[in-house]
Amino acid sequence: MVKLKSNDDKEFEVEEAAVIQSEMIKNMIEDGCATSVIPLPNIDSKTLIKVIEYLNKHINMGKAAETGEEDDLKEFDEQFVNMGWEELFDVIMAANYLNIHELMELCCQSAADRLKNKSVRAVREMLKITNDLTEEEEQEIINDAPWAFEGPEIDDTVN
Amino acid sequence: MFSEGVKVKQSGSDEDIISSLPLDLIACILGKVSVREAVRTSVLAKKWRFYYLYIPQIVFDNEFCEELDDSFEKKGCYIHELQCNQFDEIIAKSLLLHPGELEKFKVCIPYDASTMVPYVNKWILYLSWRNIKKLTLTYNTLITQSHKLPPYFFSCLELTSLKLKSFVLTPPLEFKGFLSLYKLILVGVDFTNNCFESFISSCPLLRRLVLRDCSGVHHYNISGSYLERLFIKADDNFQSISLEKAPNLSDVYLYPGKIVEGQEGNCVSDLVTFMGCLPKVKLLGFDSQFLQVSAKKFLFQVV
Repeated sequence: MVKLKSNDDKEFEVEEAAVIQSEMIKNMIEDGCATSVIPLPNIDSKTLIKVIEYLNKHINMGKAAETGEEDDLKEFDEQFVNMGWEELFDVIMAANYLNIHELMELCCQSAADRLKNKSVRAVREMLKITNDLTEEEEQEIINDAPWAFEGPEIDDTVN
Repeated sequence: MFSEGVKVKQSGSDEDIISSLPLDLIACILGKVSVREAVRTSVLAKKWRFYYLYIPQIVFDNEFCEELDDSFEKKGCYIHELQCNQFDEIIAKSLLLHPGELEKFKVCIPYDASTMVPYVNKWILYLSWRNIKKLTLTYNTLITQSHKLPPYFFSCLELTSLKLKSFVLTPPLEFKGFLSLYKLILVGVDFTNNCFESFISSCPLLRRLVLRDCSGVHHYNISGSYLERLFIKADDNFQSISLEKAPNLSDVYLYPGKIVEGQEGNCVSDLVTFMGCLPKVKLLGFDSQFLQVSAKKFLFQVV
């Protein structure tokens, strides 16, 4: 078992087989740098719980492929990314910091899927981006690459 | 990388929720939407102006081409040269303005080589400076004149994955090989000066090789100790196939379209002989002609 400590001083015990999916922690353990508790100053407990949930489910990826549990894993992944933007970005940051490639891919893909086909207005609203461009500036940018701003149906909804 | 990934939470409620992400992670997300959607983020706000330029992969696929074609039609732009010119402008700009190393670059070219050669050569020149790793360049026109790859194509030495369609491949004399290449897909590629065998053997890490309708290859002498998957659909000019130097092949698909002969003119269509040089094979696919030949030979042996 490996103990992880979040930046709000909460400790979590995780099986080594699960936690070594993080390249960062794997390297720490291999190099003998892992102390009794590994502090993670960039990750809060709420995010760490999500990451550990993922690690525990994906503990034996290779085995899942053999035993036909792939669908189960796929379903889990779909459910897993069903979270708000802020939470999703927190998990992306944590996955990047811990270097968990699969989790990074999963969450960035989910973020990308949510942006797909959305109008500029919808993206601004979803990500709470304040438009600080003047109309002229905006038009100038559009004129720079008109092909990107015209064309097939663009979704204006914020879901 | 652009940041250490250390996050500073903003307490202000007017702060947008994506600004806490470092630029490389934003680029990672934008790399997963279409190039059109990525470019559209340039108009979100001031600081978003150039984020999209950092995407690690640039993909101009068929969907992009169709959308561009629609936009030409709307504008009444029917002049072929003008279309090619604008197509090039978009692609060359994405390459020229890209600030970092590019991992993947893919273009499906909807126009014929007769007009596109200088443009595509220019892209390849830019790419050769960018340590490109995964490259796909395919001419998607029905009738196409083949495009001879320029010498600087062979200085893209970081390539790990390469797919080409309708090009002529003539490696310069000093070419030492794509030493990191593990996936190679060649469709309608012409090997001039009998360079096929030396080209394949100069890619020592190849694991997956697809050769479809390539010309200038008479003898498919395939070598590669890491090669696992092989697909060959040959044209009429081919004479023999030899897989002895690829002992680790596990999936082999052969669609030769005519009788397969061994190196000394022996027919290796005899499945037993053929299997003998493929100790690790798990999957074999043939076309009906190959099997017909095998069956004939088998009958002959029985008589």
